[in-house]
Amino acid sequence: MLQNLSVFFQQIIEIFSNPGLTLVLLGATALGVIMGALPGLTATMGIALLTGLTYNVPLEFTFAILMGIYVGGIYGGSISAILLNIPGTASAAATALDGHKLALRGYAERTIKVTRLASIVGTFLGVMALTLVSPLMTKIALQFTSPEFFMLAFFGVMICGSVVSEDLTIKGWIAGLLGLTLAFIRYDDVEGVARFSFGISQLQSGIGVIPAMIGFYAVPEVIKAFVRDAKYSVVQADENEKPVGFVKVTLIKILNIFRVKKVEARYKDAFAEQRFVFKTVFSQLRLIVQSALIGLGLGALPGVGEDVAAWVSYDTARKTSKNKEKYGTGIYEGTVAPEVGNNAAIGGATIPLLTLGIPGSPPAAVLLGALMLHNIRPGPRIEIENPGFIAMMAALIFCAIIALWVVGMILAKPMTRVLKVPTKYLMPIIAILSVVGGYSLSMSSFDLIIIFIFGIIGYIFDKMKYSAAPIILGLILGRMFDFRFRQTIITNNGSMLPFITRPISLVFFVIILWTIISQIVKGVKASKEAIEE
Amino acid sequence: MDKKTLRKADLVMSLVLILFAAFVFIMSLKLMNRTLNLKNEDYAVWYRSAGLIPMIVSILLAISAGSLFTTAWKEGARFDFFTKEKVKHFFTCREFRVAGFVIGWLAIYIFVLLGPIEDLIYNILYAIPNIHWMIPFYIPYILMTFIYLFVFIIVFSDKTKKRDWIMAALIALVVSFLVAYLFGDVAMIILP
Repeated sequence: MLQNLSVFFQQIIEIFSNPGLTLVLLGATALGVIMGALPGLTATMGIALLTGLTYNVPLEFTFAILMGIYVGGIYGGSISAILLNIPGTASAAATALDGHKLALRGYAERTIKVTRLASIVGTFLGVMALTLVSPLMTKIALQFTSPEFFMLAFFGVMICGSVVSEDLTIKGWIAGLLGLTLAFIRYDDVEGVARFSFGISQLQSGIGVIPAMIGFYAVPEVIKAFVRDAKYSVVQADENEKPVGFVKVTLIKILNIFRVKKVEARYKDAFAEQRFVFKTVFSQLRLIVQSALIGLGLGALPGVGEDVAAWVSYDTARKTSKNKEKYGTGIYEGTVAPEVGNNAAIGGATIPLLTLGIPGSPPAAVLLGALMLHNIRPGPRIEIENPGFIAMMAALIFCAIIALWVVGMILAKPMTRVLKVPTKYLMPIIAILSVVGGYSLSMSSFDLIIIFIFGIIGYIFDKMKYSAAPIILGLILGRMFDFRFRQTIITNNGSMLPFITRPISLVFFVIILWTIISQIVKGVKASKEAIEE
Repeated sequence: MDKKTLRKADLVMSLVLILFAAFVFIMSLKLMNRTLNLKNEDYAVWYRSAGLIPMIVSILLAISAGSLFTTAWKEGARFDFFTKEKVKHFFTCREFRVAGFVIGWLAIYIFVLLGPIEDLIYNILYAIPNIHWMIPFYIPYILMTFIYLFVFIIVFSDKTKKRDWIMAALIALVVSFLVAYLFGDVAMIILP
């Protein structure tokens, strides 16, 4: 363990002693943040786009680019989630719940800073796990078989449905079930038959998550922005707050040398702002550790990834918080938990990728392709065939965190200015970016139709207080839900007992049952109160 | 939407969901029958069927929709909102007009401007002999995006002000070029 740590620090020194590599990492992280912030352009897509371009690039530069994009992309999604209530990536959907409410109250820049620090802390803990406990994590991840994966998928949809529902909990569950139903539209993995595709060939490969997400989030937001235009007050509130940064104070002080009329800027204010951000994040130590462990665990599970990690972290944070009723109304806790969770999942997802050759998340799956392209064979023999490679990857992620800090400092203010662009200019541009983003992933005109149809459904659902998040999560997890369920009962000749006889599966089963029963009891009580009123 | 109206909408939605669940159930049943009628007995088992999980989910969906219907009904919602005035109000309110325009214009952009019209311009431009090689391949996309943005911006601007028209044209032009350049050239993403 200590040897791993020493190689890890050695690699960090090597990276920072190479200015070219440092600059590339910085640029890639900035690009990742921007890509993540644009609806439809995800970390997965960024890695996929750049992998092909790295064919002739040296190994350390290749992975500096790809890890920079990965770390930046996962964080970047939260920026548009906070500013526009349109998550740039699916993993940022949970952040939008409280983040956008905070932005509406005028704390957009501060919330971006808090989520940035939370992302950095989450990624750091993920990296530490990758360096120190990767063999142990791999062993735990290997305990997950079909029943556990099925229960995890069910658990993800159920908790997401319970958490996000603005109105009745049943609406969250209905949304989750609809998401699952949408995920069933595809070529069946077990029987090899087209399911619910009605002869449309494009439907046989399933409904794309990204076009669906863009439709569900972007179109309703564009409509809502024009409807509420007259009373939209984010800009004014943000201007009242005026948070300051060290970079800005330094810049003003330099410019003051040449100015006749000096502009007031004090390092004290900048320090106070930073202190607030640090205090907000680090006062939630229990929450950080809890969310990081969830992110690491779920990240290490093959195919689960950052999206589920963010939701489970958010739900667990809400359930274990003293302020559980304040969740969803705009509190910093609600943004810290999912950001720590989804960023810790980066380290978590890299563990099985490198030690088993099994990607833990969609971006990690694309990274697997990049590893193959550069003749690196991930698996148990990786440390024998490529000694120090795991430490190099961990060091690159660690350096990407530092790059994220720098990039975040530079980009926080300009990104917040997005809110100051008048709705009549901003929203048509968002619509254009959504169309390009939705199209770019598979370059299919069918995806544009998906954006359009889901945009209309999304708007109706939004009006009727159905959250889009469980639908999207259902769409993501539906395949796993279906395949793992049938895999379990096929291997057990029709018996469903493994769902309750295997310990991890049983734990999930009990939690799901408890969630359903408690929500039903709560719903009945609320309904009785409503009738009495 | 106030709570009373929301519950009335829930009433309608729950019925739609029950119908949808019934449709999914019937489709799943067909898949189940297909599996059970397979000639190979090893494969003709219920738990292998592609319709199994959708069937279970459709039942859960119907139960949930039923529960939603009961809740809405208990809270006093009834089917008493299909009056002429209410329907008229719904179709003439500002939100409906905004939503209608945004969705309608998006449909025209996706299905008409980026569809047959873009193809037509592409064919016309590239049919010109000797100069087709100097026309960037994304010019039709820029043109269509410019039209979309310009109309979108101007609809929500003060049409009496000359400045608003100029700003709309300028922003539409710059954004169209930037999107085409950054996505098409820099990121090498094929544009719609």
